[in-house]
Amino acid sequence: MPPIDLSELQSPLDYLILRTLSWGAMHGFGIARWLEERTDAALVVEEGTLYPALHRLERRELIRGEWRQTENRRRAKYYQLTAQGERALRAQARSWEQLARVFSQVAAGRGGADAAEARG
Amino acid sequence: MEEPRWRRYLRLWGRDPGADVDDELSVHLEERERLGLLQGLPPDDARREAERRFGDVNRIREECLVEMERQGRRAALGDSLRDAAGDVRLAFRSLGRSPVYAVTAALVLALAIGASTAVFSVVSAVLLRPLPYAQPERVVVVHNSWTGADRGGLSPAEYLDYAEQARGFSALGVYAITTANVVEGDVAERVPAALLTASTFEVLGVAPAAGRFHADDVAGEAAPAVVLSHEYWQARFGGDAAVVGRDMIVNGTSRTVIGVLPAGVRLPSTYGSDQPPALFTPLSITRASDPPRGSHFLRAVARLEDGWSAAAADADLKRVARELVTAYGDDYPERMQFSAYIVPVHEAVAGDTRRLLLMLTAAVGLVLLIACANVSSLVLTRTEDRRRELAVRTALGAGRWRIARQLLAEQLVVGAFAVAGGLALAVAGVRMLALLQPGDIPRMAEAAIDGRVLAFAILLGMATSLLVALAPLRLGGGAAATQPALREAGGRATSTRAAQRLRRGLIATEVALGVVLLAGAGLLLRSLVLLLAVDPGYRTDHVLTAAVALPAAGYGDNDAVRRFYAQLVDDVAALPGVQAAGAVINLPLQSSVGDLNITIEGREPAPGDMSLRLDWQVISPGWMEAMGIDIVRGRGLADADDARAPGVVVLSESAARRHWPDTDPIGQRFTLGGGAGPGVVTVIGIARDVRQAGLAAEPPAVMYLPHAQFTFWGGGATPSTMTLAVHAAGDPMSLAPAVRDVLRRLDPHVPLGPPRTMEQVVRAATAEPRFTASVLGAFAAVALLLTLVGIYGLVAYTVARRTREIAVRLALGAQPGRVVRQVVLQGMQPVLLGAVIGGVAALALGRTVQHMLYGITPRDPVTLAAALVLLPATALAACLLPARRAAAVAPQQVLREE
Repeated sequence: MPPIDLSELQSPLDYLILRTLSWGAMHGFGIARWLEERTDAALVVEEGTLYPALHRLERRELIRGEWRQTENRRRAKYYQLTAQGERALRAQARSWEQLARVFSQVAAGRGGADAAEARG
Repeated sequence: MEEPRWRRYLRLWGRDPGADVDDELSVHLEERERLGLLQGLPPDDARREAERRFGDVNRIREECLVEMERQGRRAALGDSLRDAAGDVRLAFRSLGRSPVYAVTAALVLALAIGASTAVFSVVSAVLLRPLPYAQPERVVVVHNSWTGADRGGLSPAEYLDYAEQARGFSALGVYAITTANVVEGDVAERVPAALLTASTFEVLGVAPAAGRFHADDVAGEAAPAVVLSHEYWQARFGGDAAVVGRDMIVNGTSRTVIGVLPAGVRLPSTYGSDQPPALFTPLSITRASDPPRGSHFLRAVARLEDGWSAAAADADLKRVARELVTAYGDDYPERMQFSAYIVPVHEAVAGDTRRLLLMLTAAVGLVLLIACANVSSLVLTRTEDRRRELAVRTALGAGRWRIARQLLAEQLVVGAFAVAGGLALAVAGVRMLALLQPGDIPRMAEAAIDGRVLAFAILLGMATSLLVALAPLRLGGGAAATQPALREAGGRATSTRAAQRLRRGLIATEVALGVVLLAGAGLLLRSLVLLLAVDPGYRTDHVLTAAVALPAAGYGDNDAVRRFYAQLVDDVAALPGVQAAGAVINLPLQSSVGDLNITIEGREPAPGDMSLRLDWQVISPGWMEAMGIDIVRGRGLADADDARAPGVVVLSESAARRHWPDTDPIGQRFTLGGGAGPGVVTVIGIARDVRQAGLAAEPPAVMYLPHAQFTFWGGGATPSTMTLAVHAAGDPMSLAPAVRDVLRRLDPHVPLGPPRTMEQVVRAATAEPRFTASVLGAFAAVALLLTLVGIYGLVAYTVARRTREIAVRLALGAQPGRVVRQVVLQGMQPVLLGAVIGGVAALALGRTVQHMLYGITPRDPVTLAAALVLLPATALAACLLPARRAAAVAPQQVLREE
């Protein structure tokens, strides 16, 4: 298994947003609801922090925002992945999945001896 | 909550990041709140839960604003670009639906922009582009002035005085334009040349294209050197740098080529010439050579000293001149009013043509305005036809600004095509202007489409687009117009009163401007016709001319020169096909005559009086016959009037009138001034007046002296440079080889100058009036065409609009003739109004072209009447056509179509 360079990864929130948007264009609340439903509310995210992240991703042109009218005739900003964003997502996906596996391995206590070593 | 309309309009003025962020965040909170309500929470709790889950709204808002700030500028630009791209795409689609309009508008504007750009490129090259000298704004031309001479030259003594005493100059150079015989290898030719002092190169400050400008001193004396002009270097030597160091024989003296001038650099006074000097030889003026003071034949250029302004240098120069007048009273008598002044070199080169170019600019400006009015009318019509479409768009929420932007985008797209087409036309236009060119518009050959001209064309395109879009913008797209537009039946929009008024106003404007142009062109054309009809006093057809210059070597003796020319004229006259031949020192219309003072026997002047003067010419026998100049009284010069015979002279009619108004001058004697030979002359005949300086200038009061007898003052040399004139029975040019042979047989080292027929000489002399008349005539024709098309279009449109009404009237029994008359009258109203305004304007502006006219005043009634009548008359035809067609339509057919 090739080593994972942590410095190459984005923040988890950014990754989650990109992942979510890969299923379709959504506005901020939509993203929050999606994550809520998919993870059975296991993820507690201060919902407001989505927005600075969204704007950051928009500035980096990984997502594109478009103002549309909601069903209630309100003006809301919908986001969708750009081609660049899709490429970034694909590049990151493997690393993130590997990281997730590493975390679960660590959490499963396989490193009991390692943990003692680390303490000692 | 629905977004209020005013917010939407505000957004059109630009993004408001704060409001955007608020919108985004508040949507989130509201959605979460709604969800809570759906889940059964009470409103307050739902609200609180939403806020709790969200987090610190203010902090989030701040972070978002910071992000957007960073993004802001780039995004705003991106947005605008995207909006603009969208507008352009829409514009293309919309224009594509009306190709006739698009093509017509683009063509009309292209024509106007092309003409304007062509004129501007000339103006840019002549008036705006700096001369290719080092720091050209510090270079000035120096002139003397005295009674009767505005732009006098310097004498060699004055050159030395100014160079030493004028403090305002860091360098002063003088030069004289002449011609030279050049023998290089086995080629002998005669070329224009100049003598100049080495200081002239210092003044110009240019670096040589090859070699250098200053010859080395060899044993204390400058080796005979020659510098070539860039054009001559390219033409004769192919730009080969090895020409430096080559020897050539210039006027019999062997000289070495030491350098070549860079491209585009000329002596200031030669910029207006189509035969600028090809060679430059050194002119050496020193005190030791006792330079003359009274011969003002040198032209002068100077470079201003550091820290000196032109005004200060001028004042100092005048001081020096005053001191000279005091020191050399005999040479500068009181009545001469001798002084000196300087002119910035740019003005000296281009100043004379400024008025001509301004007139051209004004004329092309009129054409441009007419074109804009024309296209404006087209746009107006088109906008009206689209009122339905625009009304729908307004109802759907597009603001006035949005629609205006759309219309503007369409105009800019048309404008862009017009600029492209205009530039192509301008390239051709500049070339045509160059072909027509009067040789004396300096630097016109440099006119080209360069960066400045390109920028001008683009700016002009944008300005005209904006101007043209103005009118319809004020009428179209207004919210007030939408309701009636939507309610119209039949899909055919009716025109508002305001639009019709505007269209008529545009027609009137076009007609007024057109009349002014027609009047101007008419005046210039009539003036040209009158000028060309002037009888110069000699024949201009079937005459061949060519210059001959004898070198000093082998012809240092007056007798040798006289014998040569006598033999040459005899031999040429004996050629088959030659009716008569002669030689003259200053060919009319090619070079000017100077004047000389005379002392008439019995009328010696008192001291302090101005002496009597006459212009002088030197001719050989046979010249007057060759040129067809009639002897009115007495006899002409004959072979017998040679060096051994008593001095004789033939006077022109004005010369006789000037000094012998009441008596018969034949038999009278007078003495030539300055010691010119033959000294005392007797009048033997009177010749018809001839034009010398130009067809428009008055014939000079001139005396004709025989070549066999005349010698110059101060030296006593016989003129060695003369121009042959040969009267041919057939085509004069066909005699050129034979004449060349005769010359070669007499002396193979003496080349024949470029032969020209007298017709060519006249053409060259009338080049400028022909140029201005042609260009203005072309502009007037374009203007006329555009205006007529505009009038036709307006009447046709009006008729089409009112087809139904006309059909009803016809069906009710109205006479077709009356209908036609009414339509025509309506169409002619703005034309007549415009014609009157144009006529008044033409009268008022007449003074501006006065200086270019010959034989007529700017208020010439015939020309003005013609201009005033021509436009309305042709406009009448333009109105009749659609009117006739309207009346010919069968009423039932029209009514059935409804």
